[in-house]
Amino acid sequence: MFNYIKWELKDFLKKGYKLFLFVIAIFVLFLILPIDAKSSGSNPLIGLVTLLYSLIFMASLFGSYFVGTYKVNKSFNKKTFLLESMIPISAKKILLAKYLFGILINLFYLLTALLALIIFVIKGVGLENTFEGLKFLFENLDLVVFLKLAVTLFITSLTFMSSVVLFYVLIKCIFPKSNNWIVGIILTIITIYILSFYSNTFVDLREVSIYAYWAVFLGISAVCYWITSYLIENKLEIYN
Amino acid sequence: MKDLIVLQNITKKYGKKVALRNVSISIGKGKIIGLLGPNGSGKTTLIKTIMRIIKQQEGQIYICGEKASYLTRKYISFMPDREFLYDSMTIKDAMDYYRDMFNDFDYEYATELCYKLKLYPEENIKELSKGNKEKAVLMLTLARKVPIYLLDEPLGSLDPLIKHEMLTVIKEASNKENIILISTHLIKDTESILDDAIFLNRGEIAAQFNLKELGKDLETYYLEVFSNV
Repeated sequence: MFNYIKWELKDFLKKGYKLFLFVIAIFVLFLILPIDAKSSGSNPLIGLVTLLYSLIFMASLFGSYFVGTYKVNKSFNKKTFLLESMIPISAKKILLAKYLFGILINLFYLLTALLALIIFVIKGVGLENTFEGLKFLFENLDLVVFLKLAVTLFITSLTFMSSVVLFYVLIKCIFPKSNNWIVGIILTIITIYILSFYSNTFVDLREVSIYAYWAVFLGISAVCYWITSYLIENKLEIYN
Repeated sequence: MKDLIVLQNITKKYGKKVALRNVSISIGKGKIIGLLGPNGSGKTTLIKTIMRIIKQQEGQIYICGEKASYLTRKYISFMPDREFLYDSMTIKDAMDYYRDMFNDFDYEYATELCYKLKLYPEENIKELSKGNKEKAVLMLTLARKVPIYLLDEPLGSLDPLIKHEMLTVIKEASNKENIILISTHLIKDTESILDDAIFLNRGEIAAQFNLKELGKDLETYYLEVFSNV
């Protein structure tokens, strides 16, 4: 299972390292160039770096929620599924590995977004003040609140991923020969419904208790996990 | 002799189309078997059903005496008819991947096969020619020490030299304890290494026989069988 994650991550990093270097280059340029409201408009290079920086920041925030799920769904393509079909491990284990891989990818994007944010702060108040601010933040951090927030984020991300993956696998089982873009459209509609359902549930349950929210969402994840692994083991096929 | 692959009344349908109809076969060890038939006869479906990449609607499959499941994959080394490795891999990465995923992967033998097949481990799989890709996958498949090897169209449309190299290593990999099942329509090319043959036509077994007992060349018999059906 961990070998699976190791190789998926290796592939992700090998394919994405050029993009990652590009992101770092933009961050460095954003940090060193004299950027302000006037220069962004007058200097094309500064304007471009500011635009790219903003896009990377937004894409990272978006990616921290969606890319992991996208990667997991993509791992059910013919090529990867064929490779996985040779490995003598159960669908349950491989699905768990896929979830963990997806969460790691989300985390990677979250860290990129955080890095972008820190760079923005450094740009605004300077390096020393940023360190002072971070130091103050860590010294006064309420660990319980922080952990609750982290667990809530993790569970929400896991539930979102497991339910979208379930619907994706279900569509693949019902329409094994369907075009990717048709599957994509159906899945997007389902995803929007899932998001709206979860945000309503969150609002309802927040009033009761955060623990109720965790319990309900973990329950949904467990059911999705069980059904998806059953579908992978018994129904999902790849055709020529 | 205990049969390594037993298929009992396997039926597989794609929608209304029947790909395999009531197929029953038993295959014992110590042989190279050709699974032969025209395009669309169900060869790949049969192999994928054994691997459980697709699932039959009816019938049972037993691998090394166990009911087919994800667990029985440990007995089978499979060479698919399409690319399946990560694009970002080199041949050496692919060997490392197999070592990580399969306990039975013989790294030393894989290195030896690389040498025999003139493959360079540092080469990127994405940049290999079609022939070298096929050779790399064959090397990975045969370097696993398992009782069953399933090779789905391993020779594809390769040039005669590469075909010869590949057939030589397939022959060398065969021993008394394993079976190598080769799905192909290249009868002339594979005839020299086959012990048995199974003819598949429209999802049904048309013939199953030993080549030594046949008494005529395989292609003549193939044409006789398939021109009459």
